[in-house]
Amino acid sequence: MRATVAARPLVLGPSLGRGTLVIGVGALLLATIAVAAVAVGTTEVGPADAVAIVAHRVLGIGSVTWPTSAETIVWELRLPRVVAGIIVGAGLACAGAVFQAVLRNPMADPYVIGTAAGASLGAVTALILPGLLPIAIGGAWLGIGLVQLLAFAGGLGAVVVVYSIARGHGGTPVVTLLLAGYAISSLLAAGVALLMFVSGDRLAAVVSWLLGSLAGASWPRIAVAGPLIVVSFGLILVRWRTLNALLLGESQAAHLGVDVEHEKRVLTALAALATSAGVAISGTIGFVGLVVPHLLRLAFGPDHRLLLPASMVYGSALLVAADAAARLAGGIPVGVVTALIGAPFFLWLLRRSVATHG
Amino acid sequence: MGERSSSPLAALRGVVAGYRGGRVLDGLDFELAAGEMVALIGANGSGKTTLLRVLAGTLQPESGSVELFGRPIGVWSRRQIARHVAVLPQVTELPAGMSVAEVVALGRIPHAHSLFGAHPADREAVAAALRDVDADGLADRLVTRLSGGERQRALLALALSQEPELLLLDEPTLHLDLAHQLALVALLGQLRVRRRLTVVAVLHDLNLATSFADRAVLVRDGRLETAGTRDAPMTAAAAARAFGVPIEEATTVAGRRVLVPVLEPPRAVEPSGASGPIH
Repeated sequence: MRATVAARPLVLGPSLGRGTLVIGVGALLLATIAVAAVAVGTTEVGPADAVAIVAHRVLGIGSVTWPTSAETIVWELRLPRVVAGIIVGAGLACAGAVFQAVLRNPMADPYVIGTAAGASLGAVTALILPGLLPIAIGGAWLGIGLVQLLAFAGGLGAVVVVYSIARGHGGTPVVTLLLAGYAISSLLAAGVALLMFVSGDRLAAVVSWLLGSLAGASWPRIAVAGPLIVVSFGLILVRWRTLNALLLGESQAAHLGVDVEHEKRVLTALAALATSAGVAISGTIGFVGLVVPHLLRLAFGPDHRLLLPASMVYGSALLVAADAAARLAGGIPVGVVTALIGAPFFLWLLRRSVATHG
Repeated sequence: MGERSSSPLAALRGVVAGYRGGRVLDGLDFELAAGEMVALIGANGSGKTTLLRVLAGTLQPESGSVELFGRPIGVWSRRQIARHVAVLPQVTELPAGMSVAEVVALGRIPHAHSLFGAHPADREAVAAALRDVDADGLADRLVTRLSGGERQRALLALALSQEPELLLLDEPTLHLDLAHQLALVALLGQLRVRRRLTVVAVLHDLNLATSFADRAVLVRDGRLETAGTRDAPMTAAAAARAFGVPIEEATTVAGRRVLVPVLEPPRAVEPSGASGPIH
């Protein structure tokens, strides 16, 4: 019965060529945007100089042909923002892809089960507490302040609480997880609102953090958050088959050999880790984690072998571009820009897919 | 999982299983021989799906023993079971944006050889599965663009690409019209021979169940009763007991025995046992 061979090669998923093309184009786009983002600003640094400065600092090659001020601007100010944009954008988009698959909900984003609210409460507490209590909180350690630490801990802590509430005898039902996430988020948001009410002159700092910004990016912060995000990526990426199996629903995934409850827990933890690490350095930037994986799924299909790496690359590109635009527009919060660019594009694609499939 | 021609493929003894709401299986015994084709019948909520879940290893019994391929089911990992037992689910929402071949290839997940690549054996298994359900032509079609019958064949191909020895089907004829129901049952009969499959299927149509299976097993009150075999076909009395409705036995003009649920009030019907040709 196996004697005959299919006349035409079977296409079992995105072919290597197509996958390489999607990722390659994305990487090229990201590289272009990154160079442009380093070059543009109130002090113009030519793209060639920008690349040369980075090459000089990283690889120690080339001779100095630029003013010291240009090097300071590129190396100390703009590049950290770009690199932070890359890791945060990749982290949010990848976590979004994971939550959408695990929760089987296209509206899920990295913040849906409490990360954003938890991180916000942590950050806002850190921003306001020193003003309210006459205590001196130990200074920044390696540039990682109390804000980043509490934001990270708050984000992860909220997910742990939500997950333990939703966990029952027979497993963790997705609907319960979403509802518990909603309830805990509301509770924590009330805490944030209360703190804002008593924040006095710290209100501006609080609002700015809540809207999300990469202005606070620095090498030490990247050095701490970066590895966390990269390790989460790696561990999420090797689970692409699990995420694909979950496309058929939890019971069928189990029939395909997936230990569903265990994998759900691991994937949720990894995605929450990447999200919390990102949010700690950037604040809660919206839309990237919802829209990027969604768009890519509409464009290239739901196979996670392609969807996960593509989400990372295009998430990075979107956030770096949005941050550069925000910077050029006089420092408006980047979250505003991601929504301004993302929402109309998203709506257009949604309309198009309704027109084709509906 | 080795050659064991004599020992049963699956053996359940005194199985008690259920959900938080309560017990569904209550001291159930069941033996399944390799190569057998068994139809599970019974009223809604009688425990047919629960029995399939216990056989597939996705539901742990509260007590009793379950042996699969001659060893306690607990020694097999989820993945090992999935390489030998496939389940055609009752309902599955198929992922939008995937082709039939891509969905069928999901059946290769338990056999994954490398971290990211596909193995030549995967391609072969998917091609064979599509061919066996006569769906070669559907390979590139989006799963969201399938008719009910095509969808069911695609799902069957997904189960076959797991290259199982035991195939479990939960109401495979649901939502299919008469022609597709008969075609599916005929296909299962062929596959069983060609792939040396052992098949357990939940079926609601009594006549389909009798013509399909070597053995029809009735799930009632959390236990099993043999309702009929090829040599001793299911009686109207057994079927009536199973579903709690009056059922008559009749012989068609062509000489086939059929079971017919009685639609009119019972008193308006001829005395039972009066079996004769249907005119």
